Amino acid sequence: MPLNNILRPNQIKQKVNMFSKILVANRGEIAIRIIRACKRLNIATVAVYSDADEDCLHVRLADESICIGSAAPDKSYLNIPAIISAAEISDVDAIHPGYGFLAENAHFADVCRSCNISFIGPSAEAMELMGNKNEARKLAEKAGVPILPGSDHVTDAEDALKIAHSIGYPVILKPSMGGGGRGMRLVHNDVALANSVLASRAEAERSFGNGEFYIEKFVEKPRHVEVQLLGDEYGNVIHLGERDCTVQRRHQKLVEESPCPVIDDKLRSEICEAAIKIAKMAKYTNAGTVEFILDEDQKFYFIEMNTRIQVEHTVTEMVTNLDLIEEQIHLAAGEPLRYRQEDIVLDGVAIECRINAEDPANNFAPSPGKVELVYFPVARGIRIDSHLYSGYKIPPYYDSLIAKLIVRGDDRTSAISLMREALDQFVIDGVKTNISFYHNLFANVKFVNGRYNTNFIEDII
Amino acid sequence: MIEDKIRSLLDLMDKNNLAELEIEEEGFKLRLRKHEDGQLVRNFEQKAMPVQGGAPAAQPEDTGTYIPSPMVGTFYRTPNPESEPYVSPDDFVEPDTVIGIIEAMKVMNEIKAGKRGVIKKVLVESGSPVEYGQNLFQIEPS
Repeated sequence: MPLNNILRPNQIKQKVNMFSKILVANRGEIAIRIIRACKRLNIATVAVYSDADEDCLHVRLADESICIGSAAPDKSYLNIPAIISAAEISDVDAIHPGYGFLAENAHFADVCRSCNISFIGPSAEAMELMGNKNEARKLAEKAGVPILPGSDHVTDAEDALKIAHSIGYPVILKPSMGGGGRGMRLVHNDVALANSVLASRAEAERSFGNGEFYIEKFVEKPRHVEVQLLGDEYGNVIHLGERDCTVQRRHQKLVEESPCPVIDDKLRSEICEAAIKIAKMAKYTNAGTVEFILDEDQKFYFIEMNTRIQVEHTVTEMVTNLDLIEEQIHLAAGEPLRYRQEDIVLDGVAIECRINAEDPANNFAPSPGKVELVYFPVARGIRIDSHLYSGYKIPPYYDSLIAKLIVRGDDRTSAISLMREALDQFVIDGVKTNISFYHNLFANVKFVNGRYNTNFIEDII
Repeated sequence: MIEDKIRSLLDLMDKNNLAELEIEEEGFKLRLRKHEDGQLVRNFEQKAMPVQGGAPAAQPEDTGTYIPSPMVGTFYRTPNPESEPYVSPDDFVEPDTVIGIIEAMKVMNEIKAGKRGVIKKVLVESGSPVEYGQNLFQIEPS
């Protein structure tokens, strides 16, 4: 329930002007998601698309659409001049970057600001600070939040050796400017370390434009727990509970759920408070997620912060009954947070599966092509965020996520049961999908018991 | 023209307070539906249904050659407001001939013809916004 009359009028420093038109700098399901939130707020929408995405659903659902370039992401969805140009000719007040693409590009946020267009997300400064994983670690330490034993950025092989010995093997080498679980190297001994130092630096340079990396202790059987935050421009930050994203394959999340099934309220409270401390110290605004690792002894450690709205924000929406994209828009327009911490109540259990156009039998290779028939399962507690429709041709240029299947039950057992029902009734003909993989997963006893770690998938495949 | 037909149907809906209207004639089917908040959802069926014979005129078959826009921005036919346009109908152009300027993020980008031929038609007014791939000129290739 919105309670912004709690704030005294003189606390609102600027006249709040809600946007009248927003450009969505993304595609597919998240673009549709954003358009939907805009429609609820009576805000006009502009979709941008590459010439490979002419038939993508987000183009049809927006009020206006502008073709901005050819298929390759760097010519279209990553093409800052093209997107800003589109924003100018359609005269928008704000841009929502979605996730991926330019969502965590501080330069893009800066360009928006200098063109007098609001960027719906954190400030460029906060993005830059928390985007450097190494600096983020230092900030967390300063905030008094536990971090994994580790180093500042590594200078050379000798330095690496000293660090590894003081931490103790196994260790993990992580690019400072990395993200999405990419570019990390697990090292078990001195010999492997020497090789990995050179390889890590080169790979980081290639992938992220910056060869800087740091070393962290590797937790053998970790769980991944992340906290959803919202912050306003007046220094207020609230959390919306945590999500457990432990089920992963090659550092890519496969299943996300809220709440985390293995922590009690006391630990939950500690982790969420730690996340808020970090966000406040970083002067973070808008939506963001702080990620932690939970070890087998239920000790938590800060890993990194995602300075964007995430794919799995939907899971939090299902248990809090809030619309996070709407909240992002309110916050970007300069409004104070519409809720106090006590107003946030988590109810029930929500689980999400990421349905991808890929072939589980062929090492999950992408499977683009024409979707002949789509049928979405419908029941109370089932939500689907997708850009699919019968006859849609999935282009090969972008990621393979074609639908997010989210369920909510009163408890984890009923949520799992509902998910199995939904997976059973979900029809996608014409392309290979990972639905069969999820069938197996949700029938797996270990998963149902909730007792697993991030190695779970590799162990069962 | 189909747009006129749709516009008059929309008027009809408004005047009679209709939430939904479906119309079917030879080779053509259209459904218009209003949402509670009064906004119209464009119906995909319009695109999927083929428009045949007796129905409002289909698009003439397109066999022309065009110069498409290589970027999104505002298109100008002249180097500055006082000058003559770079090119006009009946002008001969080479691939490197500058045919206009597209302004994007305050940067003026010279646009080249990319083809050899004679300009037949100007398709975009100077000062109009253009998207990537939008046709700027029709050209008779040579």
